[in-house]
Amino acid sequence: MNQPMRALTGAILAAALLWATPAGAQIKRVVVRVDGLSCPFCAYSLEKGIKRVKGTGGPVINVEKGVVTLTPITGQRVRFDDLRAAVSKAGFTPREVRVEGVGRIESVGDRYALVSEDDRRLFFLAPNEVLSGVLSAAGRIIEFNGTLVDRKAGEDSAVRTLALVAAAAREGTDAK
Amino acid sequence: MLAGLLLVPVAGRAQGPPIHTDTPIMLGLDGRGVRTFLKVVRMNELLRDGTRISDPLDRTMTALVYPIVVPVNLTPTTQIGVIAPFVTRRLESNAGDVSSSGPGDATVFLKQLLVQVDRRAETFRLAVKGGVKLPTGDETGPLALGSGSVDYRFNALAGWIKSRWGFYGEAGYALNTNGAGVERGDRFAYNAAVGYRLLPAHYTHYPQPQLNIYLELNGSVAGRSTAGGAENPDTGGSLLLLSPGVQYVGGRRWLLEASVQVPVLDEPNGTQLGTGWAAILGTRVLVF
Repeated sequence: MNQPMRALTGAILAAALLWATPAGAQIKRVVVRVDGLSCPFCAYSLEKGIKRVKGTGGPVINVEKGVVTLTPITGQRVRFDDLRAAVSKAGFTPREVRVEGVGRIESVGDRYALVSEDDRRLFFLAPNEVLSGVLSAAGRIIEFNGTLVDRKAGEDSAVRTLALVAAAAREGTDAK
Repeated sequence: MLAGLLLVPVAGRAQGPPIHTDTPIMLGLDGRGVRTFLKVVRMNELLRDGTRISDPLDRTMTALVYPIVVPVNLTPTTQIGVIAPFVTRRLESNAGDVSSSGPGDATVFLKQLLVQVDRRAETFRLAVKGGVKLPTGDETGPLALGSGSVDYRFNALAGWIKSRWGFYGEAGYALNTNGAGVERGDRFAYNAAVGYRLLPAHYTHYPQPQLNIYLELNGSVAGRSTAGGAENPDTGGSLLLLSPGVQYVGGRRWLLEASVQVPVLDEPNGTQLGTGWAAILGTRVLVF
């Protein structure tokens, strides 16, 4: 193969890889359930507090359902503890935190983790039926929906544990 | 009953909904808002032991109270604040008119949340509140603007809000001391309120304009005043007002509210002017 053909082949292969690799593996949405949200005029303090938390975009508050929905800022780590603290400081009670996104399941010792495309560990995964059902897709990109697990006493890991509620492998994504 | 006008700011300390009754919910203004309103009280019926009698002087007392209330949340469960009223009183009679205007007695208060039970779109809370009324108003003259005394306030507050409904209760005691040679009778106040969100029917995404209606009962029982050891028989008494009101929340940081109050029970001790009616028009604004 002559030089120009090698260059062309390399460019085609690189383009194919880029096209085959899903971009933006990340947390797409965070939904915090908030109890006590019964005074719409009072939600202003909640909105202000949530906006101060780094890593998240402007919150959308649904008073009737009692949830706050946030869109994480790409490339920034979402500070879940800060989110819960902001809810408490505003005078309400934070309940479960639901996370939706895209990631890749990787084995880490005797545990499994969700990692982003740039190998940044997003969550450890709590063992449950949903995880068992999606382990066959280990190494592949999955779309996930899970609930943040409360920290255990003494646990101080920056990476939180997620209990999957739903997960499905993306079509056309092969294991690394 | 005239002394009760100086205590109007006590009822006017209501923060957040409803309009006259105080609530244990220390939100709404993020602790950094301002509430102000104009309250007009009209007294023009002379009563003796609760029965209307003719007034040879044909007296009418009108009081305008314009307080500014500034609460600040120290923590999500502890709030301090100040109430600074401006008062105008005018007594008209066929013997001539008398009026006075100026700052009234200011009050500093502390509110502490004790119980908070939250569920989805529902909350139940209990709080206590203590306050000190300071003699910042002029206590001299025929229409005093202040009592000249340092008085103490103790209140218990309860509130339960679920979806479109809100139920509130308040019980308070005013311990009055001697000022300018007069010790006003202690006063027990009680308030109950029901609020209902008229619009929208479904409050989904915040913020949305909101229209609330309220029906309140605001009552008090006051002891007689004493001066020089002698009790004044024409002071103190019982009063219960029925107070319908409406409140419009226009956005994140402001609301407007209005209410009228009519007596359903008006039994001042001895001979005094009874309460004809009262009305309030006000706003609450989040400053920053």
